[in-house]
Amino acid sequence: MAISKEFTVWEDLPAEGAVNMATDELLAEATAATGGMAVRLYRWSQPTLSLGGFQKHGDAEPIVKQTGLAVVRRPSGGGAILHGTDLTYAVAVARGHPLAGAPQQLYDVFHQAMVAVLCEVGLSAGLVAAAAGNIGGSGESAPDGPLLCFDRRAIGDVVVGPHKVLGSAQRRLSGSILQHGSLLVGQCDQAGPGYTRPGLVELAAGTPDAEASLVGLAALCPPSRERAAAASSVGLVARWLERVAESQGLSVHHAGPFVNDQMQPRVAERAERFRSAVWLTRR
Amino acid sequence: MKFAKSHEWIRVEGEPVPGAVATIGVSAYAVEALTDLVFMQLPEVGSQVTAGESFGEIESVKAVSDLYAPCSGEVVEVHSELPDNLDLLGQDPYGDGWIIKIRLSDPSQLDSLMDQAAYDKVISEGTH
Repeated sequence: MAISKEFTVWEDLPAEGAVNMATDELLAEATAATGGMAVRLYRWSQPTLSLGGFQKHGDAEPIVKQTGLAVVRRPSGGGAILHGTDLTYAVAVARGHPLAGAPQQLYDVFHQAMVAVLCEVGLSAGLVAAAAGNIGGSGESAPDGPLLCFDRRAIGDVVVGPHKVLGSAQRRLSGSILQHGSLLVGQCDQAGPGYTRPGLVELAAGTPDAEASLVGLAALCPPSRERAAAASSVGLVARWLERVAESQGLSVHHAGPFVNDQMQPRVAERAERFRSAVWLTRR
Repeated sequence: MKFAKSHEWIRVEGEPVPGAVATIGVSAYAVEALTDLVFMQLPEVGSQVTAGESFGEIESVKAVSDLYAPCSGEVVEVHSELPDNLDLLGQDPYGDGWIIKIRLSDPSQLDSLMDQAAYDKVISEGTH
């Protein structure tokens, strides 16, 4: 299969958790069939806690009872994400793609590009060099480690100072690799004071170039059912995608929404699995 | 021993006839590529596995991977100690790191799998 020279960027309207997970799986399947690399940027229609593929549902119950957050389980691994003020991405590469080898390769492409962009705008960003220093937990990112992704530290996570701002996790399917990632744009207050972590907006305060690069992004990220401008056109995100594409010798192709009228019934059908108690409480 | 493109191996005990028992595991290459395994979910004895379909899942640090059955059959034994001792997969992937044993329902499926040389070639060419 000839590998496309385009890096396809899809961007959908905010949706509920099950729909987002279903869409990501379909993106991975589509990429398996077409080859190449595609990313989907998206947001959430309501504040949602997404659990990693093997995290214990019971571990999330205290925070869910306390906050009333919606819950969904991702197909990918890693820790739970509070989708309140983040920008979420799902990238898919076909098996056979140069980035489909060792898991770290795909993480590094997206994370190194983000570090470069954050440094360009004056933030002291870097990659975690060793998987130590989880906040209040064990030294590894096991499913039974700290509940929240942003309290975990795995090799290659993006940090600004001591604060994690971008983490990713994968599902390695038979035909493709699906990688989920969350860019913490703003501090999330929706789960209460015990769960607040500074996001890029807070970390950029006082750094003019960084603040300028985020203009418009913070307003897009809080959960909403409303149509909103494309996050992929915001300075920091646009430069990040360009960096990723350049690193692979690709050109960015903005393709609009992945979920079109034709795709809608398939997404709705697949979303039922992600809504089911069997999936949600599988562990 | 035969290999699937998805990096599982299968070894038949005795003649590859219907009903023969075969052991399944994952290749050393796959274990090394995944790094730092942290969790594993295996099927139950008595369940059916289907060639090319997932029979279990394994999680490494921040990556969940399906385990795909190289051949179809009934699960007759599960390496139940493995989830609590995942280091075995890396230490001895073709021996003590075995995952399940199945009773083959269609040994002809073995013909579509790769031998060691073909698998090594796929790995070396990076076309997996």
